[in-house]
Amino acid sequence: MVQNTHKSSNSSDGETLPQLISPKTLAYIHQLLQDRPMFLYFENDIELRFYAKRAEEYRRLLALGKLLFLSLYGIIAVAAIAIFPETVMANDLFIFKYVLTPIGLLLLLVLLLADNPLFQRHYQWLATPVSTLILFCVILASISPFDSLFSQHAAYDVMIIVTIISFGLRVQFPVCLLIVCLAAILTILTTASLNWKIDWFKFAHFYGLGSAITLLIVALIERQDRFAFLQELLVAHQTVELDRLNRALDRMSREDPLTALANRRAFDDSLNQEWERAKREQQSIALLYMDVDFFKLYNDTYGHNIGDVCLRRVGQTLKQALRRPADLAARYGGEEFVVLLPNTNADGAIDVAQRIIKHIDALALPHSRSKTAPHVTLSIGITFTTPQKQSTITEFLAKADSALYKAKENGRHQYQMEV
Amino acid sequence: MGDMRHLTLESHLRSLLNGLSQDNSAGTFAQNLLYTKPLAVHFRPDIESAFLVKRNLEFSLIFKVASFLWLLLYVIILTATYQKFQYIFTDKSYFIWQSAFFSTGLLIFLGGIFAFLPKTHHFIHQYVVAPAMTLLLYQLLIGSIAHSQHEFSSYASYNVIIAMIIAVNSLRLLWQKSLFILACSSLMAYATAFINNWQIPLLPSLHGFVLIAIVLINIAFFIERRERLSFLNEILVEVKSHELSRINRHLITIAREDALSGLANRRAFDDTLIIEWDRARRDEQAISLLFMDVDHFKLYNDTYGHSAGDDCLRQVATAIKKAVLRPADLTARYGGEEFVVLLPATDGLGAEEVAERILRTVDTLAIPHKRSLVSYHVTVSIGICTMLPNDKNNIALFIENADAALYKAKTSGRHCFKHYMDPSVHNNFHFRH
Repeated sequence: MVQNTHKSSNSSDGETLPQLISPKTLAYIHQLLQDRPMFLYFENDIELRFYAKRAEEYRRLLALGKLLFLSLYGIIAVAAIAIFPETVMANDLFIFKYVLTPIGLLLLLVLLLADNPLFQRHYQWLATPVSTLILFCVILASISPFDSLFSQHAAYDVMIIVTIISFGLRVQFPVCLLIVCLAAILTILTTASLNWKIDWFKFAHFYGLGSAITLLIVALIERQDRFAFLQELLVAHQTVELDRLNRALDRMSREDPLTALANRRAFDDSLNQEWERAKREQQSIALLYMDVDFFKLYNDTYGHNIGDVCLRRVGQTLKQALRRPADLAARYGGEEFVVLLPNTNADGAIDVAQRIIKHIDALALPHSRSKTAPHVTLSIGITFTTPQKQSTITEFLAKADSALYKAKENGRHQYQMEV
Repeated sequence: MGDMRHLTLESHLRSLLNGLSQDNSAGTFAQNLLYTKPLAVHFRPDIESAFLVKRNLEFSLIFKVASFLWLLLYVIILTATYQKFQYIFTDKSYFIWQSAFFSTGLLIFLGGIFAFLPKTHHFIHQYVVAPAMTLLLYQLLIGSIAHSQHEFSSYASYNVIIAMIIAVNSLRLLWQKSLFILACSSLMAYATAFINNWQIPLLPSLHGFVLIAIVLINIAFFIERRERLSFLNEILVEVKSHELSRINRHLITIAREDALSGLANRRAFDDTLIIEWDRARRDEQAISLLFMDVDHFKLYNDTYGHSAGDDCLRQVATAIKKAVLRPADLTARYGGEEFVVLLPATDGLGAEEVAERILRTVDTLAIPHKRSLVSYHVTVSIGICTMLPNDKNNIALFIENADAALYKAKTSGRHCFKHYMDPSVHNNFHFRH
C-alpha cells in the first residue's frame, strides 16, 4: 500500500492550509520589500490583515496591561490628591469632577468592553474616542489656572499619555494624529467657553512639539512594522509552498512517471511492509507478476511513443481492476507490472488475474504482430503464500517469476500459478 | 570585525543573512522562538550579530534625515527660547543653559557632518551615539534643575522629556543601552547637583524624569521584542527561500534523471534530441545516435534475480558513460535495458569509435552471465545511425534507423555494432562493419 506522508487524502496538495496568497499579491509584497517606499498603506486585503493583526496585539495588550493602566492611573490620581489637595478641590472640585473621575470611568469602560468581540475586531473604534477623551481631560488639568506646579505635573502626564497612546496602543499613525488633533481642538473649545487664560507658548511646547516628535517617531516605527508584516506573510506563504513541493517530491520519488503507478522502489517498500504484516498476522499474501506479450515487437511495429501509450493504458487498467485500498499496482520494469494483494488467498488472486486479463482484452489495443491475439495481451504469473519464519521475499518473487514463465511457455495471454 | 571596513553595512548584513539561510538550525531556532514567544527574546550569537548589524543599518539609513530633523528641532527651540527668554543668552549667571544650548548645537552640527560619511556610521552608532546622548541629556538635566525656580526651568524639563523620547525610540539602540543612557545621565546630573549644593526638586524629577523613564523603557522593551520576533521571521524567509530553490532544483534534476542509473532519463533525452537535431540542421553537421541494449537481459534477470539485474544495469550505465568522452554527448537510459548515446557533430567514423569503446568498456566489466548465448559475461549490442538533418529526413526516421541497425546487430550474433549511414551523409548508404 502506498504510504502517504501527509494526511490530505481528500484534497489536492497545499489547499488544506488556511490562507493562500494570490500570485499578484505575492508580487506586490516582493516589490514593496525591494523598493522600501516611504509608505503607510497597503493595497487590497493586506491592509485588512494588518489591521486584524494590530487588533490582536491590542487585545493582548489590554489583557496583560489592565493592571498596569489601572495602577498608573491609581498612582497619578492618588499622588495628585495627596500632593495637591487644594488644587484638586478648587473651583468646586473641578479637577476631581472633570479630570480624575472621567478618566477613571473611561478606563473602566475600556477594560469592561475589552473582551467584547465586536470591539476586538474594530478596536480602533473603541480606542480612539476613549483615548481622545482621556487625553483631553489630562490636557485640561495641564492648562488649568489653579496651580502652576500642578499644571506642570499634569503636562508631564500629557506627554506620558501621548507616548502611551502612540507607541503602546497599536493604533495606526493617522489615528494617532487624529486623536492628538481632536484632543487639542476639544481643549481649545472648552477653554474658550470656560474663559481660561492659557499660556499657549507653554502648551505649544509640551503638547505641540512633544506630540509632533512622538508622532514622527510613530510613523517611522509603523513603517518598520509594515515591512515586518510583509515578511510574516511571506513566511506563511513559503511554508505552504515548501509543504506542497516536499509532497510533490515525495510523490515523484515513489511514482512511475509514465504510468502514474507506484514505481519499483515504492513497490519494494510496500512489499516489505505487507510481508511483515502477513507474517505477523499469518495471513495469505498474493502477488501477480505480469508483462505485456511481445512488447518489443509492439515497439518495433508502432514505435516507442505508441509503446508508451500502450503501457500507460495497461497501467490505468490495472489500477481500475483493483478493488481494495490495500491492493497495489506498480510498474516493475520496462513492460513488467506487479500487483500486490495483501490478505488474499488463491481464489482472490485468480479472481483479480482473470479480471485484469478481461479488462486488458477489452482495451483491444491493436497488435498486428502478436502471435497470440490481434490485440495487446498480458501474461500473468500468480503466487501466494502465508509467510513463515524461514520464508523469504526473494523466493516469493522467484515463484511469481516462474509462474509467469510458465504462462509464457504455455502460449501467453493467460495466467499460471505456482506455489 | 576587521573585514567590516571593506563591506558596506548593507552587504555585510546580506552576507550574514545568506550564511544563516543555509543553516537549518537557524531556521529551527527561529521557528521555536516564534512558537514559544517568550517575554525575553534572546538570540544565539550569530543571529544576535546579524540583528545588531541590521540595527546599525537602520540607523545609517535614517541618519541624514534624522540629523536634519534634529537641526530643525534645535532651531525651533532655540528661536522660541530666544523670543521669550532672550536674557539667558547674554546674562552670565545662566551659563549652564548657555553651555547646554551650545553643546547641543555642536553635537547636532557634528552629527550633520558625519551623516554624510556613511563609512563612519557603524562606528558612530556603536561607540559615539550613546556617550553623546548621555552628555546631552546630562546637560539638559542639570539645565532643568540648576535654576529650578526660574520659569524657563519648566520648559527645560519638557526639553528633557523630548530628548528622552528621541534617545529611547529613534536611535535604534537596544533597550538596555537606552536604560544605561538614562541612568548615567541622571546619576551624573544628581552628582553635579549634589556637589554644587543645588536644591533638587524632588517631585518634578520623580514625575518628569523617573516615571517617564520607566514608561519609555517599558515601551522600548516591548517594541524591541516585537522587532526581534519579526527579525526571526526575516531569517525564516531566508531559510525557506533557500530551501525552496534547492527543492526546485532537485525536482528539475529528478525530472530529468533516471533514478536507477543516474543517467539522463527518456524525457531529458527526447528534449535534448530535438534541440541537437535542430542545431545539426542549422549548422549542417552530421549527428549520430547509438541505440543499444544489454544482450539476453531477461535471461540475466531470470538467472540472477532482479536486484542483480538492477545492479548490472547500473554498472553498464556507468561503463557507457565512461566511454562517452565529450561533454556535449548525451548518454541516457531509454527504457528497461535500453540505452542511447547522442553524439552531436559526429560523423560515421567518430560514432563507430565511440561504439567500439563502449563495447570494450562493457566487456572489461566482465559481469558474469552464465546463460548468455553470446559470451560468459554481460555484453551489449549497438545500432548506430548517422544522419545529416535535411528536408528528406526527421527525428522519427533517425531513431527508427538506429533501431533497425540494433536489430541487425542482434541478428548478426550480438556483442557488436551495426551502422546505418543515411544517404544524406554519404552518397551511397550502406551498413558498415
